[in-house]
Amino acid sequence: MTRKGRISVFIPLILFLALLLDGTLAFIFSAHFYTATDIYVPRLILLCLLVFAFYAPRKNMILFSILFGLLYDSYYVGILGIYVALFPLVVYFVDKLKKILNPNFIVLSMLTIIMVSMLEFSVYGFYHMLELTTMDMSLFLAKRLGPTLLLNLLLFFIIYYPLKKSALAIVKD
Amino acid sequence: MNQFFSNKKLIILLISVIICLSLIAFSITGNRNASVVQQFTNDVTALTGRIFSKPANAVMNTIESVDHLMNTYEENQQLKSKIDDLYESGAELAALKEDNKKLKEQLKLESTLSEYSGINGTVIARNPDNWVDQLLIDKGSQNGVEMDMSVMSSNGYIGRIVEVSPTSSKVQLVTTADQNISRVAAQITTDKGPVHGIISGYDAEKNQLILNQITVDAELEKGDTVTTSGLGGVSPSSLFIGEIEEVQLDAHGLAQEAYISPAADIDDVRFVTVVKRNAESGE
Repeated sequence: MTRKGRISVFIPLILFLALLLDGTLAFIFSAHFYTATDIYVPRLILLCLLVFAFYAPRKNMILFSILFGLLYDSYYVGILGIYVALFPLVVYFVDKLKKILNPNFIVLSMLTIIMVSMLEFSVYGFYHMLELTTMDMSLFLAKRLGPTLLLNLLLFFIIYYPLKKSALAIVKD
Repeated sequence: MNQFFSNKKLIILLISVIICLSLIAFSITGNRNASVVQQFTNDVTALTGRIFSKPANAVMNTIESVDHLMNTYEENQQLKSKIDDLYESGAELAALKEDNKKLKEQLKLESTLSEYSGINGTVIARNPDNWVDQLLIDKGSQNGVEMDMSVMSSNGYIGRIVEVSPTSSKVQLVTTADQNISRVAAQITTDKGPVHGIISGYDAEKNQLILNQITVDAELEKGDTVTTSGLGGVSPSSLFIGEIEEVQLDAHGLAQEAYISPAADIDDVRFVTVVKRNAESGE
């Protein structure tokens, strides 16, 4: 398969699986992830977008992020327009950064922290604006952001190596 | 002005912001059920989602059965003590059912609020970000699921259907923070007859539902059972919600407010029953 073919087949496939896995993880571990004191939000799809954005061309990644943002919105909540705005932003930022950063383990884990926080803050902003939540900022920081960062960093440690290998295999000439 | 519009990036940004905001506005205020395109994509995604949820469920069932095996002895002791009661109440129930049937025939009642039929479903996924507490289940309009139907887990009421596609649908749990749509007409069974109220919130810290708009005269006790009243129009009556934990006056002092510990384990739902009421709603 050509490089172009691999990019337009395997990257969407992996993103799709990540999206489904997010929902499945949330449902299997719902008793542990969503407690009264902590909320752990799995964000595998964001981690995949983050890593792929380093290797795949920008045009493809922006397109995929829009498509999967739409799917995420439609499949999980039914309010279109939240993730479809945020996923491309993440890809755009990573794309800007990839000229000055080298995608090694440390840099990518730092970026995970930054991007997950950015995403969580913006989603919180959206839901606050839509008045679908009454949670205040300090509670959000303690209850959601902290645990979510922890969980996603852990998930990143697990998937970093296979994800990087597959990304390299997909984009090689 | 000219320079402003020549900036291509800014224009793209502006247009995408406008598109996103109008999408949000459209999906919040628009037609209550999702569009056909959305239903189709959701169905296809849900279909593939089962690749993960089926094995996950199988593994969890195995773990659970091992867990059950460990507790068998203790459980057996407890159950033995309960079983005599159960026989008695079973016989009583049969007699009451017979009575009920005869009385209904005399009154020429065709269907009452308490009659319902159930559709069993399995959970495929849960909304990961949890801002809106929603589950995705594997039954849709082809199986008879309709908008607003009540959903029960094994032991109690957990929420209602908010979106229906042909082979999958979304359940919004009672624990969701969205006050406007998670309201449930409820009824408390007391010694002096039923008392009505509305479930309109959830206290995440205590893991308790909040039932308010109860008249001040009502005397409620801890342990009183709360069920749906069927007066909300869609759900049948007598679906078990939970038991009262605490009663107090509300913020204005005009009504009472009760905290209910839900009977269903809302944090760990894997199998659900979608409840279809037999009586026609008044709408």
